[in-house]
Order: sequence, then C-alpha cells, then structure tokens
Amino acid sequence: MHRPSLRLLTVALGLLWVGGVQADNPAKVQLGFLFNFVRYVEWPESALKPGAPLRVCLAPGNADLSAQFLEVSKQPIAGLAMVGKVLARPPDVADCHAVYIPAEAPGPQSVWIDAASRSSVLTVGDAPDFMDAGGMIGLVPVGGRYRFDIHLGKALMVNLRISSQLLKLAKTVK
Amino acid sequence: MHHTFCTHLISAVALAVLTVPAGAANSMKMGAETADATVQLSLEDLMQVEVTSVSKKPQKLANVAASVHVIHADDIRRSGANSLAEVLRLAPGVDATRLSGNRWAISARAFAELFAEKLLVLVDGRSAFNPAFSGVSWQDFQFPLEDIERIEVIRGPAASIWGSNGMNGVINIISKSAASTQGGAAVIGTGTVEGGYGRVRWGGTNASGNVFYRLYGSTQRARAQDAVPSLGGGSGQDAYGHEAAGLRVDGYLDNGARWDISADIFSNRSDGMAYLHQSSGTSIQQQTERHRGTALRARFEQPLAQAGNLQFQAAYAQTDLNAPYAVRDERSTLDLDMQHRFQLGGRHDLMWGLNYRVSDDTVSPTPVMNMNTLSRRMDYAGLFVQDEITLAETLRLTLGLRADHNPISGWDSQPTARLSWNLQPNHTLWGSVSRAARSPSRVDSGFNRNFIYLPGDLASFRPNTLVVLKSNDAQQSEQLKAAELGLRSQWSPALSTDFVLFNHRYTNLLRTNGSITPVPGFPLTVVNVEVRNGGSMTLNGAEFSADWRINPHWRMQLAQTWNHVAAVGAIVPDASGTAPDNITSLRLSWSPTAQMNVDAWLRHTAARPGVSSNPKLQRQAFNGLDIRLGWTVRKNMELSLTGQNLNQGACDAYTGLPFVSSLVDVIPTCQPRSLTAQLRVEF
Repeated sequence: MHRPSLRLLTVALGLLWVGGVQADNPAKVQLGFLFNFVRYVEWPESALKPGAPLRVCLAPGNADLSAQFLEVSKQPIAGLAMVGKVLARPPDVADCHAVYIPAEAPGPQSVWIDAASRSSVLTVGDAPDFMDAGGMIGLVPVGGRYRFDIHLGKALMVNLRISSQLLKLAKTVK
Repeated sequence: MHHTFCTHLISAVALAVLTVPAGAANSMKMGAETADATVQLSLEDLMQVEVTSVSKKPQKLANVAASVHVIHADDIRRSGANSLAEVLRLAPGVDATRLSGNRWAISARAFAELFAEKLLVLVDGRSAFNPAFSGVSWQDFQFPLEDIERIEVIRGPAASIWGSNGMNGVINIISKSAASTQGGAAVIGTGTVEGGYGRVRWGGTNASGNVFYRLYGSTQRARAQDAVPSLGGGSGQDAYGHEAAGLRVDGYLDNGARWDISADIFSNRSDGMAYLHQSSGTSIQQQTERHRGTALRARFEQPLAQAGNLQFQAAYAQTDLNAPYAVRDERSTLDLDMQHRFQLGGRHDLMWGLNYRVSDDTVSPTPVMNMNTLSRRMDYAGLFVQDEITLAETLRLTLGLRADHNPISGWDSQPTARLSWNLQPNHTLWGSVSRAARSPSRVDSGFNRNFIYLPGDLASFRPNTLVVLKSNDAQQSEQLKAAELGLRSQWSPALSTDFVLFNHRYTNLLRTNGSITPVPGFPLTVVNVEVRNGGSMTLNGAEFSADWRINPHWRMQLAQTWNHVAAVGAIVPDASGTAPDNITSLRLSWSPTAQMNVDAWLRHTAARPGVSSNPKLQRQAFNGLDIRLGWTVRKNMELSLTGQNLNQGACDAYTGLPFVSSLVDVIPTCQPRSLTAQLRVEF
C-alpha cells in the first residue's frame, strides 16, 4: 500500500528540481498594473476636470521602479493622458490622482497612505501590510505572479468609483 | 493493477513536462523586451507574467503558525469539482470520500465520518455545524461554487478563535462580495454521475455605486450509481437533487464601514440504502433523505485605526433534516457574534470576541431512534482573546484562549500557544501546542435506539436478544491535546513547500459500554449498550505539500500525508479506522495557450488500519485519476469536459466506511468512472 505513494513522491520531487522560470522585471509588471488600474477608475469632477491629464505619482524607495517609472512616463501610453512624478515626501501625494507606494517606501506605509487619504487619490502598493495600512489596491504575489486585492470601501470614501470589470478580476474585494 | 497504471501515467506526464521546449513561453505575450511593451499589457496578460523577485518582506500567510491552505476561485474552477465536498480535496491533508450520492465523509487527520463531527465549517463567519449531531451536513451547501472567493482550510486544532468542534480543523468558506459579481453568469452541465445541473447568477449596483447585490438560483438532478457487488449489486438507489436560491447585498458607508446581508433557501433530496435496525431485526431498506433550510445573515464591519476593526454579525437559520434511517431534526438557530481587533503599543496585535447561539429543536422519533426529550432549547456562549506579540522582527508569539459553554457538558477552555520564526525572509519555522474540545451533541445525550435484534437459538442456548443503544446524560466534551511543528518555505517566487509534523492525543472520546438485563417473565434478554466518554487515541503524522509553477504553462501541486495511529485506548468502535495510513494528491496543470487548459489530478488514499465489525464495509485503498479539459471559446465563455476516476472500472472504486459511527448506517455505493460536460458563460 505504501509503494505507489512513495513512487508518486519520488517522481514528483524529482520534477521539482528541474526546469526554469519564465520571468520578467517586477518593476515593469508593477507599473503595468498601475497604468491599467487608473483606466478602470473614475475620479470625481472636483478632482479631475474633463480632458485634464491624470497625475500619476510614485513614492520613492525602490530605485529600479523609480528609474523605470521616469523612463516610461516620458513616452505616451496608448489611451492614457498622464503626467508622471516621483515624490520626495508624503505631503506631496495630495497633488496626485494615483500613487504607487512600493514596499521599500521610507517610513511606515500608513504615513504615505494617510497623506493620500485626504483627497481623491487612488493608492496602489505591493507591501504585505499595504492593505492593512489602508491601501486601496494591493498587489499580492501568488506563485510568482501578481494578483490584486481591492479595498472598495476606502476608494468610495474619497469618491473614487472602480469599474465592475476591475472588481471582477480582483482576488479579493473588501 | 491500478498502481501500475498510475505510475506509468505519472511517468508519461513527467516526461511531457520535461520535454516542453524552453522557448514555448515566447508564444505568449510575456517576457517582453521593452518597458513599453510590458507596461502596455492588458490586466489579464499581466496576471500571467512571472516575476523573478517579489517583496523582501514575507507575506502574511507565510508567518501564520498553523497548517493553513487557501483554495482560490481559480483552483476551484480548474478542479472540475461540482460540489463543495469535492473542492475540499484540493487542500493538502483533507480526507474526503464520497460514500453514496451526495453523502461525504470529510475530515483532516482523523475521524472522517458522514457528519464531520470534529471539523468546524463556517460560511462567511456563520457556523454551519448542527447541534443535533455536532457535525456538518455537506449536501446542504448549495450556493454556486463560482461565487466563492476563497476557502481557508486549517488543519489541526483552531479552536482558540473559532470555538468548539474546531478539533481536527476549520473550513472557512468566504463568498465573493456582491461588488465583484456584477453582471450575469450561468453554468449548465451534464454528466454520467452528475446528471443535469444549472446555476445562474445576476448582480448589479445602485446609482451611486455604493450598494451592490447579486441573486442566484441553482438546481441539480444526479443519477443513481450501482450498489457494491458484495452487498448484492443492482442499483444503489442513491440519486439526489437540489434546488437553491439566494441573494447577497454589500454596502459601503462614507465613513469606511461596510455591511453585507445574505439570504439563502435550499431543499435537497438524497436517496440511499441504509441498514435499518428495528426490534424486528435488521434490514436493508431504500430511504429518501430530505433536507430543507433557510438562512439569513447580516454583518457590519467598522475599520479602526492601525489595521484594527470591529465586527458584528447576526445569523438566523431554520433547517429541517429528515433522515429516516437516523434522525428527524427540525431546528431554528440564532447566532450573534462580535469581534474586535486592535494594535497595542506597537508589539501587540490583539483580537477578542464574544458569541452567543440559541438553538430550538424538535427531534421526532424515527423507527430506529427516539429522544428522551422531544423538544429542547440549547444555549451556547463563547469568549475568546488572542494576542499576537512581535518579540523581535523575525519572532512572533501568539497566545490565545477561548472559553465555551454548552448546555450539556458546561465550560470548555481551549488555549493555544504558537511561535513563528522567520529563519530567513522566505523560510518560517513554527510550532504550536493547543487544546481543543468537541462539545456533546443533542443526540449524544438523551437518546434510545433499537440497535439490533437476534432471534433466540435453542440449540446454542441463546435467548431472544435485543441490543439497545442508549446515551448517558452525563456526557463530557471530547478532548484533544495537539502539538505541531512546521516549516514553510518559499524557495523562489514559483516554488513553495510546507512541511508539518503533528501529534494529536484524543481523550474522553465517546465509546460504547454494554450490560445485560434479562426481562423477567419474557424469553428475552436486553443488552444495553451505553455511549459514554472514556475512549482515547494518539495519532502522529506528517504532511508535506509543494506548489511549483514550473514555467508559465505548467504547474504542479503535490500533497502527501502520513498518519500513524500510535495508541488506541478503550474505544469501541475502533476509531483508528478513520485515519488512512497515507493520502496523496498530485495535480498537474497545463495551459498550452491562453484559451486552453488541461488539469490532471491523481489521488491515492490508503486503506484504513482499523478492523471493521463488518468486513463488507471496511474501507479499502482508493486511487483516482481525474482529467479536466477547459477551453475558453471566447471571452466570457468556457467549455469544459471533466473525467473522474478514469482509471477505474465499473465498481472498482468502492470505498466502504468502517462501522465507526453509531449513527451512520448508510451503505456505500460504487464510485465509477464518470464524464461531465459543462458550459459557463458570463454576460
């Protein structure tokens, strides 16, 4: 009775140590998510006038992400009129429509998130404690790929509307 | 023979994995060279891109000092499962066996029985355990699988938060917020075992976008399977069906608070063959079991500063369970729960809560059983407190205590201490010691049951004998002391492993104890068999699981469990028969293109070591191979074909149940090869 399961285990363990991983730079992927998320969010007119460009910001701390962000925000992205800015300190976040707060951002995540929560700013991040600290859309690694959780209540509090398409794709909607 | 088949199949699949060309991944839109290309991918494509490194900080689940596995919506879809019971087999260490029709024996670690009486099941925080038998009736979970966000499966005792009956584990089913199920969805399917089934759901929102709703309906008519040849063959008469409907509404308030309400109604019918023990003798009879129920639930959650929150929940459920071979239970239950989480002084993450449950019942006499008290109101209360203390950046200590009061055995205290240590950011060593209890059920105390009648035999001087099984009114809770040690590792973003050693010492288990009473003036002897505490069992075991995303196309998940019953004290029937020596689950998932996916699932459950009182009902080893082919015909439309037990002949997959439970006399049926075709559309 033990033999088949032992064989199963041997074959499986053997398999575990073979093979490679098709991978991409996480900074590019994180920015890809950010630029997608902003397309699925509706800002109140008081925060974003029709036709005005979207101010998308990045909190500092992750050099690779900052470099990629600066490079990407110089080029036009299809269907998205935006201006990119790397922030220096938390109070600057009030001027943004959306901010990406990396896990490496200086200080507790809550300092950046609280600064953003005073106006209609979409907060996106990847720190394990990002959602607990009050973030709106958190990237969560699942098996080497990113999925995302949405804290809809936090978005609605500052009059941001998130499309049902994005809500459907989320791993968790709170 | 099946072993050989399985081994060959695994080897063939393994070969296929190893020969996937390295460049195959390039056919997908991944690994793009320029920043612009990646940045401009769609969300669906981004969710398929592998990333080489993720946050240096360990994820929340990695730090949990318990054996936790989370089944996500994607896993459920790709499992080919059509019932909650089947889905649970995705979690490592879960022992789930279909007995007949929609009747399942499910547990983690030991005591897999029809009513899962040492496993706690929660649906959106509402306990689904029925005080009649302190267990769960699996056929009553009829909400659409597509509306489940995740299922958290905790193996081992988790009673310090969740309460009594969370002895061998807790299954926490979390349904999707109505916000994430807007629009329509429908599933229709047909299968050789599953018969015909359909589910439909519609969701929407109000004008201001802060209240969301969804409605669902679900129905199924499944076919009967064959009876086991050793028990006479023919039709097993275990057809089943259900109708269910429900709604959920989620609302978000300006101050960040949220609320949700749900209402569900179901009715199901399960045919089956059962031993019917009456004073005239024991016979096998066809029975139809009918369950009906409604449940209402409302929850309010107020977020507080520093990740704290305050939550209130009220739930009311009305059920009517009519199982003629066992019990007729009509019941209404009200649950009130409150939970508060807050941070204290930077190092303490505190959580405490209260709950109160009142359950009113009428347990009507059946031909096999009657209760001393027909109707009873039972009050339960619980209080828990837990503190997660950050001792150092990499060291966390969790102390928890829960006190529960039940109307039969009084107070139970259920403490736990758990320590987790991040050896390295991606390797966590954890250990725990806990105590848990299973409170006596309504039918554990205060019942009389005609068990078996043996006609007298003059030649052997045997008088007419009636065996009567009865309960003892002074039942105590069954107890468990458990120690666990685990290592959870994230070797790379694509490979994680989990290893757990456990020692479970059960005491006060219910056992039977007999005494003989001659009836003066009648040629009859009554053997009184009393159910009382006093049994014990020690179970040692190990669990290993690995999840490896080999490349963007291939994923492999392995789960292996070893159980060893080290000691069995005075306990009749033999409970060791509920712990299989080992359980293996190997899943291979292949996505050759974004539109196609193929999932193969090999399952092995070893024979049970216990000696059954009826050899015909002894549970044998079981190997199953399932393959599912899924094809996304176009966006929002998926066709799938699932084959289950493909390695099995007509009735080879028979898995009997040892005669361990005083209540479970259902006769198992064959588990043949089956095919199911399903269409899922979103609109």
